[in-house]
Amino acid sequence: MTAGRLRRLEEAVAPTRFATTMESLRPRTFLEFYGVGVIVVMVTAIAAAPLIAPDPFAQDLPSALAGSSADHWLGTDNLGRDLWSRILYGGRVSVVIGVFVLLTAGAVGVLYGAVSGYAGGMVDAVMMRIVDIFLSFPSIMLALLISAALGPTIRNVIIAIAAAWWPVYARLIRGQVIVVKEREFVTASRALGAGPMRNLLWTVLPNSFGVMKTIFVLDIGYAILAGSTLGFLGLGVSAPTPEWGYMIREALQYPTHWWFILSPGLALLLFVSAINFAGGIVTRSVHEDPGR
Amino acid sequence: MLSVRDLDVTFRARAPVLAVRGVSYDLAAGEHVGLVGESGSGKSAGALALVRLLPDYADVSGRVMLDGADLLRLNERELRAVRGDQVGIVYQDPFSSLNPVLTIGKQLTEVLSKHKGLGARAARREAARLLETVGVPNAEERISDYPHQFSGGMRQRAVIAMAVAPRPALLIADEPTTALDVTVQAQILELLQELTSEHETTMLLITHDLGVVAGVTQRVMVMYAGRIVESSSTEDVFTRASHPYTVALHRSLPRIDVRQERLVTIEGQPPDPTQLVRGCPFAPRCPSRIDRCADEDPPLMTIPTARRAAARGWDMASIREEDGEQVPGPASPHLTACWNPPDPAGDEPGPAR
Amino acid sequence: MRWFVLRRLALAPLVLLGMTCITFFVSQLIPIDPVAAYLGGRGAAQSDAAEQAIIDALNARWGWDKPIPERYWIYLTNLLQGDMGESSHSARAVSTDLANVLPPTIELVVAALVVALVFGIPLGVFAAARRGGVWDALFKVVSTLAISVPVFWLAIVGFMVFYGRLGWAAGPGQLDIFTRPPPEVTGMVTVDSILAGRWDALFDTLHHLAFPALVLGLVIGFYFARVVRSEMVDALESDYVRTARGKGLRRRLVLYRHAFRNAVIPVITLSGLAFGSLLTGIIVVERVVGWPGLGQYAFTAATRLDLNALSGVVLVISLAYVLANLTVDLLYTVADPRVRDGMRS
Repeated sequence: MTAGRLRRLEEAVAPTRFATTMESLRPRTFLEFYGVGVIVVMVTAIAAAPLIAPDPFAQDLPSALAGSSADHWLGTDNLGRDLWSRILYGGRVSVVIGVFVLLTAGAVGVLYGAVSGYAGGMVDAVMMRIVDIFLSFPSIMLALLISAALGPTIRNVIIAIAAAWWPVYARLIRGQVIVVKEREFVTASRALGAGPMRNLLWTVLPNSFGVMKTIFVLDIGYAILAGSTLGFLGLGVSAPTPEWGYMIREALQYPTHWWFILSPGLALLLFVSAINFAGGIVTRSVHEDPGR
Repeated sequence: MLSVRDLDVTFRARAPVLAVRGVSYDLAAGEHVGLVGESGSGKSAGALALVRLLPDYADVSGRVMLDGADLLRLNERELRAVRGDQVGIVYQDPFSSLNPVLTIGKQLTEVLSKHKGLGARAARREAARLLETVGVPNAEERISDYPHQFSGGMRQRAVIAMAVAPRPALLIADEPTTALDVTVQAQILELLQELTSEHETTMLLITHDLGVVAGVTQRVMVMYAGRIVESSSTEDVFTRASHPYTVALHRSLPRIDVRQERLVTIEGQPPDPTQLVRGCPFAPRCPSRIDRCADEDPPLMTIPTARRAAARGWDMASIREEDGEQVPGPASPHLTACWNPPDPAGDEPGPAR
Repeated sequence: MRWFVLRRLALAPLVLLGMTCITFFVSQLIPIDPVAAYLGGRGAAQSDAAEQAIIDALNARWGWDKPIPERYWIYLTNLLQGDMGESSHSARAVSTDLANVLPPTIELVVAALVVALVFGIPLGVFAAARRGGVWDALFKVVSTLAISVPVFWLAIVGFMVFYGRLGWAAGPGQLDIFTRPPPEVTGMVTVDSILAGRWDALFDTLHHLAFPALVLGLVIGFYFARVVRSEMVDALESDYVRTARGKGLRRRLVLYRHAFRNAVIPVITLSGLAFGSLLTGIIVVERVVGWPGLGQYAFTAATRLDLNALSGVVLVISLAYVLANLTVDLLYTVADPRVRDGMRS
């Protein structure tokens, strides 16, 4: 092995320096700053909900469907509950759904795809046909059916959406693994006596995450949208829990009370679009990452 | 016929890339001139800038006079009449420069209908004839093939056919053989030679390979770090190179007449194109550098002037007085941009280290 | 090319079989006794004997007393005969319901798709041609908002404004209550109106169709436009576009003949995926504007937890999706000569 090859091998195996990663993840354009800013503000507000908003479950029927006031900044819903508070607590549900769908679907998909890609041959062929079948459903359709069958709880919504989404990650990771496993540092690590599992976990996978980073960030937004769609269909989180999609469904029956219907939708739009605006940062960092 | 003055090309980026710095030269009608330099020397950028074919983020300034019109000041419409009609271009990579979803015939006829005003049938006939001329066998049938059905050499022949179809006055060949197999390279060069001689087309042949210009061009301009550093007849470049960089290029050519232990390479790297260089850009890699090289960027000078200038410490004004306006051109003498030009002593040019 | 297409065609039935398998097992997840659920839907039977008779009949038809693999087989054979069971909320056969709600949905899907293509593709080309400029920046902002907005909410707010406030959009349904419907032939009011020569009904139903088609079409259109833009930007920076410019061709020719012909190939693939989100959009938008189609039906089925109806809807939509993607694959081979010759797949 020549000195040059050895150096390249070291570079390839060396972990990316944290500082470099952080540098490439800095927002640069106005829209990226805006996206990151909105996310930070909204997540902070959502986390601090108990401190800055009243009880989201407290009903006050006499003042139901009231407009904005000092007591109720955004007015009240059909049961006289404070909308501002319900928006904030609804955000908690959305964030939990977004993050956990990604973690669940990501974990299943990555593992499945990695095994499939690494195994190759017949195993790969069969595993990928199964993925094809899952991908033949429009994802929300499968989620809808699963959610209807399991019943409306946060956990089930997460399972339903994740069950519809993991094949996307599986296919992506498989593609990456197939490319990466042919690269020479993997061959080198195999030559050094690493077993297949060790190889897969410590060498192939970390080098396959490049593309996943982008998709992950953007997909949190889409997972939140999917969760709210299920909520709107009545298949999301069950009744008293505030959830943006379900709030819109309730508001549908009071079309003249515009603040009731506007606020949860705007919250969704603001949050999801902020994620999409900020997503540009990750897309760029992947393109600039020479290690990929 | 073509006269380029003070051509600057800068690529806008976070750190702007100064690709071409103040390049001037003339080309006479029917002349074949080589533009030689390593990758990143600005030779391709400088050539494509002539007809403003660079991406949006390239800033081009200077003057490019073609038959009395300044190409850099034409509007889009006037420029389109020049591109493809007066100036034909052969690109480096025939695998990416042809449109994969259009047939060869379509890509060829569109030039003919644009610049020759031919109707569909006449254009098709002419296209087949052109393909035949550039050496594509069964041209009649292959005209409806897609680029992927052509081999690399055949594709480049098709690109050449497109470039010469309207009989341009100037043909820019941007590394036309780099992407091809060695055996095909010679055929393509021969074809270019043939077609350009036949119609007395001026050709600017861009290459990183001194060997390519040898049989094809009358003159050679050597580029380094965005500047022309030497200009002379092709013969002189091979026998009496007067810039240390050209000398080094020669040494790095593999030779068959002398047994070599290893290939000679030029030590060091070209300067960072995002930085303005003080002094001669080649100085850090130059075996014959003198003190002056670090401070002052040498202009293009005639050889006698260059020798005297170094010895007597002439400033720019005195050099101008001695040389007059020296721009590489059909009649210009051997020019070099070096404060200490190597001695053209046959096989071992340049002063010993 | 032949191999590529044949492989796709051969895999389609397998995919469909796999999909029925998934829908079947998902519907088995439901933690309640299907017999009880079925009976619960229509009140207690008169006597134990009568109830037992019903249970026996159901078991004979669906094999609910048999092990799961056998039940799947029964489900599958019933399905092949067009029997998807009864809907608990409409008390009719799901297949009958689907046949009723499908035509209006086809009208809406086609209309929305036309809007999306006619609006989205030129917009994407426009943004790509002016990349880096003010229009491109504006496009980026608006299109990002468009892909981030919950469609159902946009439809509700739009309907409140354009129907409720401005009165530009037509009200709920396919026709005004004062418009006499044309005789039913295809179930698609537009087509039926034309067949009957009822131009008043045609005009009226197009007016009703406009709002949902525009909402769905614009949202999906922005998605198309984003894909077209990014593919066009790549194509415009390619060597072959430089060659085309070097020939002195007109801007429009360079843009459409050279760049777009290449950019459209990946767009075709992605339009299959966009069709999926269009179908999803149908479900929520139809409910909002009271369009009596598949989406409205699915919404009700979801609300009432009517699993037979819901899995019927899911199967029909997924079938449409599979067919759409198959069409996309075929188009793809037409658009890319390299695929035609089996160079890429």
